[in-house]
Amino acid sequence: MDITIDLDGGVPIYRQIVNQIKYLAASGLIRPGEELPAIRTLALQLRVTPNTVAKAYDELERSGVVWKRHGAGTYVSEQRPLLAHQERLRIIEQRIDALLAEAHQLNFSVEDIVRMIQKRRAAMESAAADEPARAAR
Amino acid sequence: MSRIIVDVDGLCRSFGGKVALDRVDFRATEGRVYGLVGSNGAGKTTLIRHLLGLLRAESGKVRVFGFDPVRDPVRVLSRIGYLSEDRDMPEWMRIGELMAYTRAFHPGWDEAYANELIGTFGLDLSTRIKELSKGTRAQAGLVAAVAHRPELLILDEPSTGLDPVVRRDILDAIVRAVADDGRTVIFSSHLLEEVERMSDHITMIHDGRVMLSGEIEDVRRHYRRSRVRFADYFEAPPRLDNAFSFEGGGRTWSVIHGGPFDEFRASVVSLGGEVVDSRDATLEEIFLARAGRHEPLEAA
Amino acid sequence: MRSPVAAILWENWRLTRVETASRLAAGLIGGSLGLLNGSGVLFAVMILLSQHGLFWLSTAKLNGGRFIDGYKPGFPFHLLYARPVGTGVAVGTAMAYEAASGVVWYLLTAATLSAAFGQSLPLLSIAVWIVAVRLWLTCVQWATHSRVVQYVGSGAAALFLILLMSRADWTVPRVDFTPVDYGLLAAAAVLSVGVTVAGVSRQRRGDPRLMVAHAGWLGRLQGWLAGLLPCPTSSPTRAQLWYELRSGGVMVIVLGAVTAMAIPLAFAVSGPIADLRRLAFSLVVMAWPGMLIFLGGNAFGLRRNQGRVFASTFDTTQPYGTARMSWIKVLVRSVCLMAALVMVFTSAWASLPLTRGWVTAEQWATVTDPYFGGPRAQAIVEATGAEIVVLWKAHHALREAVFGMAGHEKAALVVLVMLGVIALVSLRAAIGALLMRYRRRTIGAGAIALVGAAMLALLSISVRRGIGPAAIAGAILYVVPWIAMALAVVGGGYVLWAAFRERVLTTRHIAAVALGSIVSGAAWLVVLGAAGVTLESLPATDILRTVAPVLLLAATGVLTPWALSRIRHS
Repeated sequence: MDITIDLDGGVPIYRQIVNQIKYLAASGLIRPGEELPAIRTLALQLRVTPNTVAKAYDELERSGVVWKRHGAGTYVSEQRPLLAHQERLRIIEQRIDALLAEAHQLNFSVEDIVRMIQKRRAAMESAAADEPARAAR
Repeated sequence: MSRIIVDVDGLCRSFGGKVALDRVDFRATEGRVYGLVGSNGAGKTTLIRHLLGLLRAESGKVRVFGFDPVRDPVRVLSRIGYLSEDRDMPEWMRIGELMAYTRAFHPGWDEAYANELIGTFGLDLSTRIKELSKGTRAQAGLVAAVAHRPELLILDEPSTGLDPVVRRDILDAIVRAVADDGRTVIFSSHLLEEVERMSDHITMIHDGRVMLSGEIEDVRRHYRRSRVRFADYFEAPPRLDNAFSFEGGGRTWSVIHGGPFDEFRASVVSLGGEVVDSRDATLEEIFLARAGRHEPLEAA
Repeated sequence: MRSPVAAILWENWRLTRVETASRLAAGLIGGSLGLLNGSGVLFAVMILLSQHGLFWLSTAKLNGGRFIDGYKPGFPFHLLYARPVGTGVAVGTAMAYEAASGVVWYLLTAATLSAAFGQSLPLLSIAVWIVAVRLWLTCVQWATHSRVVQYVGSGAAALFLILLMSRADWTVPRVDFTPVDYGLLAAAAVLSVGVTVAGVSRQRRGDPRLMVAHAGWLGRLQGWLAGLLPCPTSSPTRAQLWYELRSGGVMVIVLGAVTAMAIPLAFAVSGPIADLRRLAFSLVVMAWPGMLIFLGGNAFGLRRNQGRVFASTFDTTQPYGTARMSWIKVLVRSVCLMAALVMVFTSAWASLPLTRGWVTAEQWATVTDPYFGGPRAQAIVEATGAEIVVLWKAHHALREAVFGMAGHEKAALVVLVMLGVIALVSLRAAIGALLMRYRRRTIGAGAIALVGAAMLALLSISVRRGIGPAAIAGAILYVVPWIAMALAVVGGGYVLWAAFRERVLTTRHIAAVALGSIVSGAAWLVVLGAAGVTLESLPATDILRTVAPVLLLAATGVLTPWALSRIRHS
């Protein structure tokens, strides 16, 4: 599983794991029913304390992204994660705050940012449209 | 309620008039990883030696598994796996003999696990310890320390001076000890990135005193690194609440500070400035701010 | 520090300060005792030499202790390799310090004693001899990493002693070396320096032959031997026994065996040559005190490195009780030492018939007669030297004394000797531990004890000679042993109480020590009885003094675990 930990960003490690797994689940890179690595394995891979991974898995289970079979592994949930509205709001707001602060530093206005968001979205959509064609080749 | 494995309360110790530990408190509960950081000579090894019963407390209390390691050395040491800072092992022994000798003292020795580690590290059982390189010595010492599955694993600077491959081995052992067996690990290190990743709880010792102690995330959240910009030009670092260190100069400063963020921002604003951005401080920044050399600031 | 030479000299001085003081003190006291005894010039000079010339070398301390104390061969000042100082300068300066300090100690002590007693002691010749011996021993220890060279080379230093003994005329205290002798000594000195410089250069360059350890036949032999004795995993006690044997015990036995094998060899080849006979004789005579001194110390395995003494963390963190660990360390070392002594004794006893080649048939008939003596002995001494007479007289005396004993008396004697060895080993271990932990206090107490003992010795000699106020001296001599015993009892009581309070000693341990003391007391009484001394025949005061040795064993049995616990839990 492709997860990276960044110690400089100011985000707690377990939160980074939670966010990245959520993203992997949301983007379909890991499928519903797929088994997540064992706590020990992921801890070894990321070189973090297993308690952090355990905490991340607990939170993922709480928010419904994964479910734990009793003592036998953790699996991605079938249904879409039911994150509380508040929680989803908070995640996005955090990202927006960071983005705005950065933009202010670099002397971009809010309008510039909005324009760039739409431009990037268009670019991502066209790249996704090219994906199946490239895979077929 | 988890078992308390290590309980150090108000520990004081000095050597020939020089204070090595000053009212140190330290508590470790079962199944967690405890990181100890501090400058050279700050007192990390001294604290660890108290846990092993190698030093007597001058005042205060030291209990491991509920026992005093000085009065009950056998009961305490039989459940501890220890890797010393200097990897002190008899030079004349061969690696195989070291394993056999350690095994005799610990009935919980897991031969399969030991062999697995020896195979992974590629250790030759017939080489003498005096012929080993630094890294191989650490590996041999590590196998002897973890193979009997101790309830408490104490590693004094396990990664210092070792190449990344051996460092990885050490970290793997820590992870396995905690994840597989629910054991407790205490390790001291200079490599703050490693401590940040691997610890659940961190204790920073400076000049024999505990400078900060808490869950890793709490510690990181508590300390922030903020960039502030003032209207006026400052020669010397401005007086801000809970600030520990400053970088920069003139109008723009980068500050490491603790405490509630609002208090800090208020003091910035009161001096005619604004907080440009702010994030959690890294462990290295916290360490340098609190233990590094800089002009004495307003007490925080 | 204005120059590298000054820095090296200063470092040497710092490392050997305390030792210098102790050697000067011991030399003065020992020499005084020798001279006070009338014709004691030989005795005095021997003591001085043993302090300054031959045995305890400060270089041994620099290298981490004596032979089996983690003795690291090679140049001890290897930290100088990375400094801008030439090998010749470094080695030359250090060796010059060794030679000069030995000479200075001797000359200071000898001059003081000469002035005090009005007796002349040989100066120049001995000074030259000391220079040669110390340079030789330094060379043997520094020039190479090979322990074989060191053992053999250190043993070969006995040749210097032979030279001295054969040239000395103790009737008129002089030592006359011929020009050839001086030439030999000078050559030995120069050669030693040259070889050491060459050897240290090799070490400094990191000669590849030095780097690969144990690749040769010796290493493979050691490997095979080690394989014969694998570490037992069944119990911690067995593992610890194995550890003690491997870390020092086996070496003691091997050295004893080697010496035992050397003795008949020496006896057999030395027939016609006087100097070789003296060599064989000194080998037999010096092997015992030598082994007790060299092989009986540091049973706790304290390490030394660059002037620092420390206990091994590995040893002190094993989950094993302190009392049991201290006794295992002492007992293993004592048993091995006893085995070595027995081997040497048996070898010497059995090799005596080989001295047949030393004398004529008629002289042989004389020495083998158990009751020979008087003018017949004197004639042999004049013809072939005193060695064979001394050896055979000792043989006859021992045979009569010991073999005349009943079975149980012999057993008691063996037990007593064994207990004596144990007491010696454990006392040295305990003192070493206390010296490490409470350095100043122990040195202070040792100094006081040394001075006190010296004054007592002087007093007793003066009483015997009739010098000075006999009554006061006699009173002091009577009272002091009682005071000493009282102090010992109080001290021992404190140690016992402290050890018990800290749970270093449990009731079971104390019971074992008490049992050992009872056994030793019984053995002591039996041996005394065999010597014709019974309790009834002694006045009350002497009874206590006779029992004192037993208390000594009890004391060491309690002191040893307590001393180890002091260094295990600082």
